[in-house]
Amino acid sequence: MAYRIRRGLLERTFEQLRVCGCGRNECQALWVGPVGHPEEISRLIHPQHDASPVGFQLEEAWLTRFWLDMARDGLSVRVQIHTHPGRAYHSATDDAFPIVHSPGFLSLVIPNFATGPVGFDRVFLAQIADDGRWQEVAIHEHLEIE
Amino acid sequence: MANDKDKTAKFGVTVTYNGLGKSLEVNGNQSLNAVLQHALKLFGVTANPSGFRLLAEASGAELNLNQSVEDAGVVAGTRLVLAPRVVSGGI
Repeated sequence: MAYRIRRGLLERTFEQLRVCGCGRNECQALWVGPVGHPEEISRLIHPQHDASPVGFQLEEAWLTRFWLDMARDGLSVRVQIHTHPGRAYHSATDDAFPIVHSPGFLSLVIPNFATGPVGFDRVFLAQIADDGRWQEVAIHEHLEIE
Repeated sequence: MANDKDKTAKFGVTVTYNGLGKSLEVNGNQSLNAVLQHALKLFGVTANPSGFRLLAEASGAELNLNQSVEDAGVVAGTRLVLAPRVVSGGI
């Protein structure tokens, strides 16, 4: 199954990553959707986080509130998105500390602090396999721009 | 003796992970650490259990995993939230 991403959501995601990261810091965004509609991505979330040119970490208090809100509202994180300063790949830190650890979860990495064209050019998409390991997957099989 | 016997009686709680709720049977004597490990299996999570915590959905409080189910005030129908401790990324 491929998630259908509205172009407007993708544009807002790039804008958020650029504004927050200012071309010099990493940033994370989340795409979430209702638990009852597992194929749907309905909302962009911009977590509160600390960031540097080489990494980011979500604020613990924000993470706790967000996780409780997700449980109360019946929402799931479908895809985590974050920027890298240079090329896009999934680092050891990215592997170890995702927001969701379930098989099938997707992680999209965008190069050059998202300062390039809006789209999936030169991005990296990873997915958690059934054995819990991350593996690179083909973007067109999982994400389609509407 | 009667109280000890009561603590082994199983009852149901709900654990929510990433918005999805699932039922789990526990008993009063169980440690919350054991409950967390069962919850991870329930959701197919194979990552290190030390990277997770349990929150009480009603109060939002993080539960002490060294406590027993009973001592933590977990009763039938309690809703728990399985949450990551740390979320980060980098090069």
